[in-house]
Amino acid sequence: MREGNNLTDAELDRILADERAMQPSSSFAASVMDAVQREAAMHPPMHEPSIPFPWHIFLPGMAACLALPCLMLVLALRGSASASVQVQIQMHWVQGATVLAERYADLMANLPADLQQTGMEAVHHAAQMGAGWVLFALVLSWASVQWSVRA
Amino acid sequence: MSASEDQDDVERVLAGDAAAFAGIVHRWQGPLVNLAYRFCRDRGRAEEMAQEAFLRAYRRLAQWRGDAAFSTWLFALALNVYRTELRKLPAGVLGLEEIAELHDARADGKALQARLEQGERERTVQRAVLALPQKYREALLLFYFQQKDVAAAAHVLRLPEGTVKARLARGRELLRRKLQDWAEREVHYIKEERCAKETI
Repeated sequence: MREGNNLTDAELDRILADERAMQPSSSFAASVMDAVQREAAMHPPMHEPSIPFPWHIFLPGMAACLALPCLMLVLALRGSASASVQVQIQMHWVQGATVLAERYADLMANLPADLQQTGMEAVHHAAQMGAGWVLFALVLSWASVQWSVRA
Repeated sequence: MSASEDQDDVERVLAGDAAAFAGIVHRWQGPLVNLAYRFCRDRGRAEEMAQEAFLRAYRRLAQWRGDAAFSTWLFALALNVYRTELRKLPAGVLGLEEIAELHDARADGKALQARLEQGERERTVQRAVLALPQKYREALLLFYFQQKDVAAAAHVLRLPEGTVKARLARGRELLRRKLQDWAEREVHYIKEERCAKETI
């Protein structure tokens, strides 16, 4: 390769492009087909089976989806029969939220009084608006997403 | 080579007619063996690698969904097989001693000498391509194998065309450097040989 350093781009291109085609040996195709026939005897290639539907995941989820509205309906019917229970539940939520708000207020003791007041009002307001349910729904959504990803 | 012939043969094979695969082998044996040969420069090994590629194609025939040309799918699959095979046993690269032997074997006739020099030059370039890092080697080999069609090479390599172009440019640059380096080392080697002979 004495002339290696004199090779021009065009010559390099020509050498790489002008590769002579090589004919496979006469027995090549027969040899491949022998191997294919052996393979076919063991594992015939089939149309890929469609991905099976994940019934084991779908059915429990579907059951839960159906059961939940039923449960809510039953609770609603019972609740209408005893409205005081609902009031009590709401009171529990409000009380719980108030306790949280008070603790939050303790933590913010160093803040100016007007900010403390604003924080307390915000927490009370959130509790009355059903923030607990929103939080519950978010946690439930997060858990279901985690579960579905894991499955 | 007709795409519909490939499609028909694939359908027949998938329906259970393994003999229909012979049509695919018949149409694609040349390209697959030639591609393998460019990667290993050994005829026997090229046929072994191509046979392995055909077998894998047979096993995975159902994975070809017709969204790409059959040839693109087949070459991409073959390229994976060749990579695996070459990892097991890399292709031999001509050593400096072998290059020197080719010089010694040169005949005296000028025409024959010119032909030998030309052949030797081609062989050395081909060997230098094999000595390139894998990503540049594959880009160069597939680009020229696909008649300088960057898009076709990019499809087989499953890379963007821009990446293939960049690899081609870098590959050629590395190739030139390698050839220059070999040439300088060979001149040095021959000089040393002559000195040793004169001393004797």
